[in-house]
Amino acid sequence: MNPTIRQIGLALLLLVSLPGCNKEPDYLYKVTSLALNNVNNSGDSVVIGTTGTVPARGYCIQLNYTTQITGSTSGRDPNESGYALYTKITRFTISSTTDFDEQHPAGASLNAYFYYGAYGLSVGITDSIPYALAANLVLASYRSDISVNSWQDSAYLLLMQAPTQLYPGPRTFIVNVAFADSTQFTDSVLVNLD
Amino acid sequence: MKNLLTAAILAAGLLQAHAQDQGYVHALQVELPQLEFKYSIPVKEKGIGNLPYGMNQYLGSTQPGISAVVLNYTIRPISLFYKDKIGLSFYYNGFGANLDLDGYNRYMTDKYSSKYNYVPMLSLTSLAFYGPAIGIAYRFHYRSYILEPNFIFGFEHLDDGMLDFEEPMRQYGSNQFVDYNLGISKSSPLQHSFRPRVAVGRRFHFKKISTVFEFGLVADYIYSPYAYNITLSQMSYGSLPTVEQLTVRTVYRQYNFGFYLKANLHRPLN
Repeated sequence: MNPTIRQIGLALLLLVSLPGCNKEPDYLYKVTSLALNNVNNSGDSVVIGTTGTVPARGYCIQLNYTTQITGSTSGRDPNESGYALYTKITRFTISSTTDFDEQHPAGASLNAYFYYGAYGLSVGITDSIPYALAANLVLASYRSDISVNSWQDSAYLLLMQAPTQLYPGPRTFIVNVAFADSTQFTDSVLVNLD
Repeated sequence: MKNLLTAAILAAGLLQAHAQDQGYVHALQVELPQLEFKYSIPVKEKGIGNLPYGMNQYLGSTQPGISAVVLNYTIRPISLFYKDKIGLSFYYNGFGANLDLDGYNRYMTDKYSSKYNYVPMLSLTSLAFYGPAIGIAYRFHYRSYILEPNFIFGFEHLDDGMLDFEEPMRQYGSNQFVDYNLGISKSSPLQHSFRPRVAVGRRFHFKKISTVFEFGLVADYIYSPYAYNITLSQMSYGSLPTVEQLTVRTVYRQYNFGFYLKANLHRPLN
């Protein structure tokens, strides 16, 4: 074979690219309910569903969303498709039925005092609620590599600033989540913070 | 990169075929790509013994061995040799080594593990450089053996994409955390390397094809001054972030030993 032809053949072989992969469409999820649990994160191990007094420094609220697949499932692949929220979250608020401190009377938003752990109890500076809301409460910790199809049915709110000693005693926290399709979910949890 | 290599192969083939047709192949010889696979022995870097934050252990301690082989490669897509003696070669190469992270992880554990129940540990980080280079060579012939001293001047840069990490550390018995963010970036987009190199090889061919193969051993030493920026920031709830920055100037040095393989379409003629 002519060496030049052989060269061209080799070059063509090198130019053959790998076939591309088509991304499968996501399954679409709708949130159908929300339930809260107290969490004590102040000890060696995490206690979920605690009913006693919880040190404020390690107090968390577990959010359990129930979700349901909505819309068409045709063309989806259980091994390839992700899971995305059907509608955007428009509001997320945590508040207390009693005064929290001087600046936060009963009913005021305590969003600034809690962080949202979309993946568990380990949070970083990008897990504040405004940050998490900007990402639809999805993987707030990993915004640089955010994937909108990584919704977690279980997440945590971590209390980052304890109430002052002027406002002791049991209190009820209320979480309200509203979606763009006008659905909203509310649940509350009673706790005695120490 | 693939297109560049393809273009170089095509150019080499066409030039060589043309040279053969025109009859001046005796004088000018265009060689095909040469691949080299090497084992590297990095030399401990100078001038970083006093780095803060344990960085002297983090960046100054590279480990030689098989794991470093993937970072050390040389592709010589094209060479021009006059009378198979004096040559000019173009290279694309990478060099570097995996970092020995035991010291850094020990430093992090000693400093933070009494207060935080999660301290980030690094498991795989490499100091890697890559880029084009150009070399001049002179060949000595003895029968079918070749001795080729070479001097290569490189235009590499540090691949800083693998050197950052950001991890939150969680305080014991509390929701509080510290976001520990270590960023390392090259301070200049381009650095230079100087590489004396010697290759010893043997040419051989098969009777029915004109292709001439060459196989041999190669050794070189890399001297590459470079600089990088370190940014360490720590952020926590309700506190202003603390950010510390410094620039480190040092020299990466490394010995390489390996083998190379090359095939020429036409028999080189003296």
